[in-house]
Amino acid sequence: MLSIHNLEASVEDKPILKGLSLSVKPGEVHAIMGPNGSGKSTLGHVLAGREGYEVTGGSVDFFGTDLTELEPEERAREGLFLAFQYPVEIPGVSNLEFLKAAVDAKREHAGLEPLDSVSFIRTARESCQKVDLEQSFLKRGVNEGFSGGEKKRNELLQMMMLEPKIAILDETDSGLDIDALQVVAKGVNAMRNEERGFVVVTHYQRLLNYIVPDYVHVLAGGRIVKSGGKELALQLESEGYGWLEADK
Amino acid sequence: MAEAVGQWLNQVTPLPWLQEKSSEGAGVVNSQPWPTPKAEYWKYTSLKHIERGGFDFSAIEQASPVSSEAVSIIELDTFNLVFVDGQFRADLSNLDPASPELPEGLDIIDFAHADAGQQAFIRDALHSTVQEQKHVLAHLSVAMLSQGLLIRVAPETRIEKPVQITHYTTAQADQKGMQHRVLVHLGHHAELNLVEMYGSDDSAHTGWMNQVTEVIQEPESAMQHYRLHQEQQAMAHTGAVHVTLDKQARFNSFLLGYGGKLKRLDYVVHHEGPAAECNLQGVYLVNQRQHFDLRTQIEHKVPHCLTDEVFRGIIDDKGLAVFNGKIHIHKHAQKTLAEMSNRNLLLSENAQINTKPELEIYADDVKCAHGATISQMDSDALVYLRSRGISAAEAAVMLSFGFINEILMTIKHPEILGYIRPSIVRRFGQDERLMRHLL
Repeated sequence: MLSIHNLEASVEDKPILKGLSLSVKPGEVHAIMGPNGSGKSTLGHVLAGREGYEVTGGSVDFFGTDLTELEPEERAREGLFLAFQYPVEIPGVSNLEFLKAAVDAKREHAGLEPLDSVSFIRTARESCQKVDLEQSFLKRGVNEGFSGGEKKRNELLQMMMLEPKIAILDETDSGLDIDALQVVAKGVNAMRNEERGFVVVTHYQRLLNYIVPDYVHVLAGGRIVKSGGKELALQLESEGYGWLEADK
Repeated sequence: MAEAVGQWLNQVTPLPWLQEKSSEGAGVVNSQPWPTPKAEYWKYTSLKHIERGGFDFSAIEQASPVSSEAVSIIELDTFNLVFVDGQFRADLSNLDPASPELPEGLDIIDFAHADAGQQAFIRDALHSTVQEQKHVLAHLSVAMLSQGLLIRVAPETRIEKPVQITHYTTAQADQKGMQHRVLVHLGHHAELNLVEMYGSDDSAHTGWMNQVTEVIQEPESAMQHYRLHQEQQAMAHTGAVHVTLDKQARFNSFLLGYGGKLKRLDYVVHHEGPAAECNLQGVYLVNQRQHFDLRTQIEHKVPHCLTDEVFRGIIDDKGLAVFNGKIHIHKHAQKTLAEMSNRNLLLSENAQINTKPELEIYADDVKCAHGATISQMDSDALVYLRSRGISAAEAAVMLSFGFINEILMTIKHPEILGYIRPSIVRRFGQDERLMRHLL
């Protein structure tokens, strides 16, 4: 479904990704680990189409489309979802209006009618329950005054409502205590199925105790330097990243 | 003095029993320099348009055909007094200010129909809140005073149903000068809701309205005031709200201001009794080549009073907006709490805002804060919305509206919010589809 080949990308003319290749098939969960500054977050931003992240080489194929040619909103409508490491606070725009606009945009793209308000609100409330957010959060401004954990759960809520084909979780575990981490992991696991792919970007192995990956990749210096099964994460946890860098 | 002033004064016949006030007003206007941008108080607003506009203050001969649906757009049960092109319209109002049927304790009377007692009250109270000579247009208004409304609430009386004053203009208002005064008096522990609405039909018409609302609040009285300006953009408006607050009186006001050919509004509030409260909130939306100038001046003369002022503006195209907020804390006004915030969002390179929050403090034991910001659309927020599939155009509309929605959420009457919210949303997009999630 997602095939990244030799991807090169720069931020402010500084090369960050230097030939990254990764292939994700439906139903698979890939974890991407790596030291600080290895390009983990850049990968998520490049895939989501964030401004300022320039693709300078390679290709990203998403169900036969060149993803890099699409506007960020088109990528989302095609089924790509990026859970932000630092979700943005938008006072004045209610969470509910925001969700409805997002869901309607996606449905319209798929040739479906917008959801009527009643069924939309019902679905939104059910999703709130699943991610353990009180319904009052729907009326508040987007992420406005939310705690770190609430923001991540709000990301998860959006993911549930948008039902992406592939979800990229950018350091979703950062800033979460163990309870919040478990809630988020439970939500992600509930969404795992044979059709949906996940790319879980994380610095620590901890999250992978709860979201068990099929593959683990180590990103260093803008490239994937090692791939393996879930046991690779444990090895990284005990030995750190140093041995890999010495290896290259 | 502008030559035009003499002509305007000749076009109106002030009420004879107010002759003395009118002459005094004319005296001030004649003695003061006519406002020009050379004066700090008028730095960004030129009155050339009204000096040269040939505005005619003589009465309109034929009333404009206007439907009551056109003017009564708020789904709110009010005592509604409707003025079209500056003239009272009994056919569109649900109240006759010549002989109104009103609940006990509430007086609404047209100056022209005031009885001897009411005349004496008006002679005494009118213009008492306008305490400085620099308010030249307010003095002009009293000099030309041919019509006005007195609204009085008796002590210990709470009037739940709002009083609404609607000024509506049509093609007949082209090149017309219009003036109006409102004098509000709240007795001890009295309460009133007042809505001042300004609107127009879709026809192109110039026209100038000079309007002053005065509010005199006795101790412990409370007023919820709305001033909603949605005239079409060729209209000029110079208006003012002057308030005096006695002990523990509360004045809350919400302002909605769309820009226009020339729009200048002055809010002047005097804290004259201890522990009085003044809350001013508002939003202004200025686009195309519109002009909007808002001045607020809060005088803290006594201790323990509170002022909270929050205004936000969005300026697009070649619009120009001015916010000048001044809080003046006199020497004896200890324990004052005063806050003022003005934030602006600029949506185009040619949009302009001049903002100047001022605190002038002569007391040493006060708590005050003020701030002003000017920003552009938050690109991180835009990215975030787009990353969820929302188009850039719709995201821009949502974010612009969101910027002022925070202030709208403070509106106490849901019917008023329900009326102005869609009106504001429509200002942001030509395309209905971009607004569908806000309407």
